[in-house]
Amino acid sequence: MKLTKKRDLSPDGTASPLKGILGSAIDRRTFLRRTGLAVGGGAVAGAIQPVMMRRAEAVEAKAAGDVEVRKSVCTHCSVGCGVVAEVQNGVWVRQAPDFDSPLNMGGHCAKGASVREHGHGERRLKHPMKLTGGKWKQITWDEAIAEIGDKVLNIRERSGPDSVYWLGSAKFSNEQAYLFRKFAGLWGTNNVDHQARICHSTTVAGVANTWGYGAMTNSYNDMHNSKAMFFIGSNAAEAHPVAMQHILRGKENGAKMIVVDPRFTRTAAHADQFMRIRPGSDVPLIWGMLYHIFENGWEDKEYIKQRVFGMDKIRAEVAKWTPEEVEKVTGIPGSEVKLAAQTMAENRPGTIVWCMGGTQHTIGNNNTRAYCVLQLALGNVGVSGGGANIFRGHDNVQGATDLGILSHTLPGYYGLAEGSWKHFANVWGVDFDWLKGRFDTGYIDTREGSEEGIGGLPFDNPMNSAGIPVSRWIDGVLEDSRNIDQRDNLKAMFFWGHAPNSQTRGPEMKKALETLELVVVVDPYPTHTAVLPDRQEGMYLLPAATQFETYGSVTASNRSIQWRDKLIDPLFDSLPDHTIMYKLAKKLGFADELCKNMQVNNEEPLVEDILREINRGMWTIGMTGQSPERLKLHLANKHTFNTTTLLAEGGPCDGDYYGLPWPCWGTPEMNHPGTPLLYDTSKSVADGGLNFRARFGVEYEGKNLLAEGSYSKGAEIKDGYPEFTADMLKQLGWWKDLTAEEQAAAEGKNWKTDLSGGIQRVAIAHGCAPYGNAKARAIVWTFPDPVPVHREPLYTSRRDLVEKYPTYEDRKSHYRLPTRYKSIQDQDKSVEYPLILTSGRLVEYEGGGEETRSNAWLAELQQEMFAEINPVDANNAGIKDGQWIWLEGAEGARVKVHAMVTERVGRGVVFMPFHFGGWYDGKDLIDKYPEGAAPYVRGEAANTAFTYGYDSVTQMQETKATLCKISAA
Amino acid sequence: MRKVTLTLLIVASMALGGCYESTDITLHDPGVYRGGSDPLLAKQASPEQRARLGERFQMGQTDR
Amino acid sequence: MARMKFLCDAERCIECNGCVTACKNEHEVPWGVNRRRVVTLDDGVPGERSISVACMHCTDAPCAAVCPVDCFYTTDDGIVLHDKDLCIGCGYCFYACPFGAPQYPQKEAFGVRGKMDKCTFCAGGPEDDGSAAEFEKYGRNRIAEGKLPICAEMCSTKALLAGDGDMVADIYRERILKRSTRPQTWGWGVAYKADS
Ligand code: SF4
Ligand code: SF4
Ligand code: SF4
Repeated sequence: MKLTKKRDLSPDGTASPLKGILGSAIDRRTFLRRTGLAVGGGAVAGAIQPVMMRRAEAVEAKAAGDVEVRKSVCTHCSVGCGVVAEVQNGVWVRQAPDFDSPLNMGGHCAKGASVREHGHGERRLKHPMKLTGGKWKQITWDEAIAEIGDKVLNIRERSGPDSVYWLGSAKFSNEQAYLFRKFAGLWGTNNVDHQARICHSTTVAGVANTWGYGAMTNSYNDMHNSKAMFFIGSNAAEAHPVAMQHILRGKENGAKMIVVDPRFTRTAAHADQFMRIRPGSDVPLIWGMLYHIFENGWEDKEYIKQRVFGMDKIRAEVAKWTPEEVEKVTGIPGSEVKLAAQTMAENRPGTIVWCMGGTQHTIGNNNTRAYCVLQLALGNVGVSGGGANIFRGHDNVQGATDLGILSHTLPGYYGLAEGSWKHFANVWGVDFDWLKGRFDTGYIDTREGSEEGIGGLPFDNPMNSAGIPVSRWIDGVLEDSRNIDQRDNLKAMFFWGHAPNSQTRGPEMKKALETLELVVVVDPYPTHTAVLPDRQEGMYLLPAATQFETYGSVTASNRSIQWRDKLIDPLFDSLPDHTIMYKLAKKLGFADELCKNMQVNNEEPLVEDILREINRGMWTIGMTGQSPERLKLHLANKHTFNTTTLLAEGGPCDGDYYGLPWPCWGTPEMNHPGTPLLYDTSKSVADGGLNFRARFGVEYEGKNLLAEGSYSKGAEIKDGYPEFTADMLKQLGWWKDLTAEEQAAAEGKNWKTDLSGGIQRVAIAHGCAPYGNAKARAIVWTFPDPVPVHREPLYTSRRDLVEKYPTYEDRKSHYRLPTRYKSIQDQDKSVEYPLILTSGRLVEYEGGGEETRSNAWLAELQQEMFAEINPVDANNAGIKDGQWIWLEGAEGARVKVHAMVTERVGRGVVFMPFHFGGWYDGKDLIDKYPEGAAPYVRGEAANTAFTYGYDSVTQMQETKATLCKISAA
Repeated sequence: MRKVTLTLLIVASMALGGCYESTDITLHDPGVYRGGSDPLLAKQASPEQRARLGERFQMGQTDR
Repeated sequence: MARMKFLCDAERCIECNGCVTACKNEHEVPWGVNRRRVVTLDDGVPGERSISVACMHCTDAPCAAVCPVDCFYTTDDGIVLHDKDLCIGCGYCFYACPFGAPQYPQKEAFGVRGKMDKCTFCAGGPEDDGSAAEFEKYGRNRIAEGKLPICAEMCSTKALLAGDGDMVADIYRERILKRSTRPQTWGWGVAYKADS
């Protein structure tokens, strides 16, 4: 080797492009890595050693044993990406792309590409733990179950079954979700809920009340067929990354893409049009678009006449939203709103996508219904390329919602009426009166002026009244018990796969956690719950296995149900959730009822049997045809499904849609292919077609609610019709089509309660939808605002709008609790707290983030909690990029975070990601974790600073529009 | 192995050829690879291997 | 003969870091070493674009040109590899590389202190293909297994393409036509010169 002069390294003048960029570009990651170096040093040192060790271990493992390929589904979001694992000697040694999956075609975001870490579980909760004298002590499962069981039985004795709260999870498989809801029912309470309450409850309520089902109507894949895509409050690039594969394919096929958000998001960066909206002004924007649509006659008149009820009332409201008023309230110039309306009108079919930016408001239910109305006006629902593509959050939040881990319903949206309980008593094979006796039947609400429960349920028995929602459990603990619609306050909480940092009002939460007699965390990780309260005793951590250590089914956002193989055995002392449920039920004395129809092996209820029981009861949404056998067949033949239509072309699943998206009507033997697009009348019901559901009666104020002249292909009733009952079959002369056995089972029943499935089978044989054929309704007369209207957030900086657009009156009882609106809005906080505070996601982390922040591959990418602040606001507050700041919410709770000064947020708006936890009031709580179980990355929980505010229908928490102030720390 | 050496030699001589055109930067002249041998080199030369990689590309990286 | 190339389609890349994490997972790359990273231009303002970058496996690789111990070699299809047993960790290659690809572990472990690590196009290094020694020093050898780089194979949006340069170009050309956008084969001019 010798030294010589050599040619210039940049012959074309473009050398070192990257170095140039790296030198000057300040993006989120370079920013964070820089700030992270000093503070994250500990984390770095902690992380290197084990990762390097693992490489050596993996090498050894490689030497012995055959490699087995097993398939699962990513546990991080609702896209449902297939995961392929190579397992050797029980060790998950390698992860491969799942090219066969029609949902992701091999792709993964950072989270999905890192799931193999679950096979290491370095920072997992490894053993059952008990807090004694303020220290964590390892105990056995038997001790834990015995002690916890004794305690809750004691609480039941003193305060009734409603004093124990069962907070479940969207991380459960379908089978576990169902078993959990059943568990709470057998315990005798409706105080059971999960993440759906705080992510899409307003969607489920708003959308179901508009056209029948509260779920994504089409699919990610179907977006290949869209001509326009309207995103509002959805940042798919970070929240549903692989969905972007389909979205960008749609865009390449010519679709116009519009993004509405307070932030210029990574999704907005790919849009044709971006509109920066003031947080909480969605209804005015949508009505502002409809203003142009109606004015120019762009609405689909024929469609509205045949299939929509109440659009005239919408028109009257929309007329008030002139371009000037819209600009005044939303901050979006009139010309931009018009352009968006025109784009949507001229490019049909178009789809609308929304997420938590739209749902998490005190008027979330108004927002979701306004979105639906826009699509109905354009005739976009029930067509390929159109629809309401509501992207759900967690991997199985759709399934957990369907299976009713909710305080206001049983599985399948059956509600809590006596008939619903009877239906499930029938399915479960338990005596109804015994079941009723499990509840606090002696409790009668005697408070003056208390309202009825939702849906007009009487309060004569807590069995029929909606329980306390997860957003409000804090108040269930802290509120004066005389104001709560149950015997006593909450005394024990089970956080079963649920992070507390996803809920607002940090200081009160801390107090509530310290007030409870018993706190039990069942989770693969200790979570923020383990470290937030200052307690000495009365707290247990039970290690649950992840979904990769068990098996079962999971429902993606598009209602496709996928089967997961078990990849590896549970790590450490962890157990699958359904095994833990069984153990606890045994201790509490109802294990036999819980698993009456199931084989139980070594305390583990057989997953297939749970699904079969689900199939026997879930007639409402057609989760009856997806037997374990059919789902396993789909798993083995993923590659035979078309990636746009999701239809199997040949092979053993020929004619099925991937994952038998519900409704998959009738029994498994009926072989229904699933319904890929809801309300699509161009196909017959037997082939996955549908029409809007007859859910709200047949007429309202003397006007016909049934469809007029519109029906699914091949229907023998060529007009609207009500839902099917035994009597209706008789009137139609179709009763004789039932077999004798079916007749016996169907007598006196309807399409939802006939366990033989005969009524559904015969209706479909005649081309009809079992649930009837009605119009969608643009107005929901059972809601506080029948026509969706705008109301200012409780904490608003626009005091000038409060008078014209006030919030609701305070309510004495809403889901058992007093709920405040006006009394909060009346106090003007906008002078002391001048900035709007909003929140959202980062691609590397998910939910409360404990799991992902414990994964070194992800943690390295995002080491610091931060707040995005516009340069103007930063300069006004004397804050520099990268420095520590205190951010104080309008109720006085503060968090210490790094300032990230960026134009991504508009002037006057501050954004924080909500995945961090493990800090409180500026302090790292690392010492409070059980040893070796602290996540690599910790930070202040954004929601600590978020404030009071709950949706008027579902108690969704308001986390997208409140107020704050910032100062240098 | 011999093939690599040869390639590198050619690269080296071409680089040398250009060495008086610019005087901006002082660099080391690449010499001959002195490390261990890599069986992959022979493998990559086989048409079957190339076909396999081509198929893999079609399967994994197209919008099927 | 066709050569192997990387192409990141900036119209599709969403900065999700799937590629980065897939690489870490496949090769057990330690904390602090990044064979691949995603760079965002105009972060947070209109025009924002992201590009995933690793070693581009350049023609006439500048890193090889400056290596004082001559530890680099190139496969017939253009993959630039190196021998860690020879590498002295001097850092010259980092300064020569237009893409900032070479990385150096921050901490001592197993005597690899200071040895340069970089993207291998998932093709391992000068050890028996698929051997434990190869895995420990260079990560997995997917190419020998008939597979392509995991970062591209797992890309969430199929923005990142890796394989035979002609096939990569075909896919990209098709997308350009559909979108009627200008081609932006970012980095190709520098990395692949004449044959780009
Ligand atoms: S988090 Fe969602 S998009 Fe990312 S890999 Fe998992 S399922 Fe796919
Ligand atoms: S080609 Fe392989 S080594 Fe290179 S960046 Fe991609 S995954 Fe990492
Ligand atoms: S995985 Fe693909 S889309 Fe995601 S950052 Fe990497 S190149 Fe971009």
